[in-house]
Amino acid sequence: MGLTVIIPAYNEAEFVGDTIRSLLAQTVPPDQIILVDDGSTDGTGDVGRRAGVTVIRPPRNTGSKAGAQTFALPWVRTRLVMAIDADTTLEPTAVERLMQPFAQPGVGAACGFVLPRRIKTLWERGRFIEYLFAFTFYKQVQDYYRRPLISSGCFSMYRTDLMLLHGGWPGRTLAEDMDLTWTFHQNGVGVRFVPEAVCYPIEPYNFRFMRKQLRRWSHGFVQNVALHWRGVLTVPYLRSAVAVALWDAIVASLAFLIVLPVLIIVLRSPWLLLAYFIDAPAILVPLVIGAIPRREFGRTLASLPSFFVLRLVNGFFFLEAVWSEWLLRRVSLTYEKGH
Amino acid sequence: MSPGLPGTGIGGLFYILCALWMPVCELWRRRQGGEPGQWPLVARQFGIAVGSVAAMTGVFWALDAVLVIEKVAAHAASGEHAMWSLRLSALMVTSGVLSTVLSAMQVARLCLRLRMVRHSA
Repeated sequence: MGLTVIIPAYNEAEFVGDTIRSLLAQTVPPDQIILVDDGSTDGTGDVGRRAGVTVIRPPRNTGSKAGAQTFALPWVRTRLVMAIDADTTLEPTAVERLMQPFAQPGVGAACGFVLPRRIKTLWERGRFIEYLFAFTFYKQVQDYYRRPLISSGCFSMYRTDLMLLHGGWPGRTLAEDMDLTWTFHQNGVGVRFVPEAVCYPIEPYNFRFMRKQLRRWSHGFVQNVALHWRGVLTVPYLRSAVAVALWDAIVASLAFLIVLPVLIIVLRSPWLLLAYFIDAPAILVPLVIGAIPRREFGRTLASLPSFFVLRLVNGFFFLEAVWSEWLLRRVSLTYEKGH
Repeated sequence: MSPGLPGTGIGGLFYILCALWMPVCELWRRRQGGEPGQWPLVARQFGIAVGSVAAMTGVFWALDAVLVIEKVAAHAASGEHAMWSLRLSALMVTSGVLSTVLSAMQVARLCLRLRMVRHSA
């Protein structure tokens, strides 16, 4: 099974060297690595050339990660193609493990377990908890029912013929990974999650970058619901997972950001503050199960409070996306890089 | 990315129910000759679901106890009533909302199918 790796990169000279080294150190190294230097001005392409990978540069910036990845697709000659963010490193066995589901007929995409590489700031800690929780519990349940909600864009593998058939990575929403995953589900293409294939991206370390990422993800989710709702209704399990996610994104956000503060003020009851973290023990259960084999128990406990801050901020951006995309009908397709 | 807010609302209950259903589903799949070797995953996710339910039950027990003490101190309603209202109402409201959302989605699916049948006729 041949494999080509595509690394879309815009001004990633600081991190892309680590990504390439991590790819070259795989137990099953890829046949070809293509670095798409998407109009960088910081010497990203030079880092790639020095590392000995194929560097291609579009005539002008493609405007999105999807655009950069699709630009590289005609260069792919192998059966499998993998997309990895330019700031992401891998466990040495990650590629080998991610290839395994493709031995099954019908599988067209596979994604791995994501954990932040750096866990220092409040935002990185919040994201660490969010990922550890979601990838230990939600995503494994989704995979058991053969419907992972997203084949994460930072580290996913695909059958090349299917990517060519679908015209590459779609750029019609801000979440090309979700768009592609839902399209595959609707077309009967299998998508798998491989928890043993672990990747480590650099996550937003300050609010400025986090704001850009959350805005992109929230708008992307809302756009994909609007784009795919008819098709999603025909896919068992996926339709339930999307309906529940949408409900929580809107109603839980409204409850946290509007209803609860009003109730706390009107009823003058400090007990209501408990509602913001009443589910902490239930969240801790999958976290502990995910953290112990990784020997991250202490870090997990220390990072838990940051998760509740990130959840509130996340809620704000979901509401902003719903307000902007569905009520004001302002479709945002400007791709803002935020790691 | 995980859309929705992990741990909050009906999402938590949905995935707990899905995980609790996995052993039944696995038995069915094995009888149909499905992919072997899934039991460790099923056991782990089932354990997470049971642990989460136990954790939330513990939280509500603790809250009930605190509220009972508060209410008794204030000579207000009986502790028995407070315990019923917290534990059961939380479960009933969340289950009710989850059932409503999933039912609404099924209704939408049926409406869409009817519309497609009418268009093709």
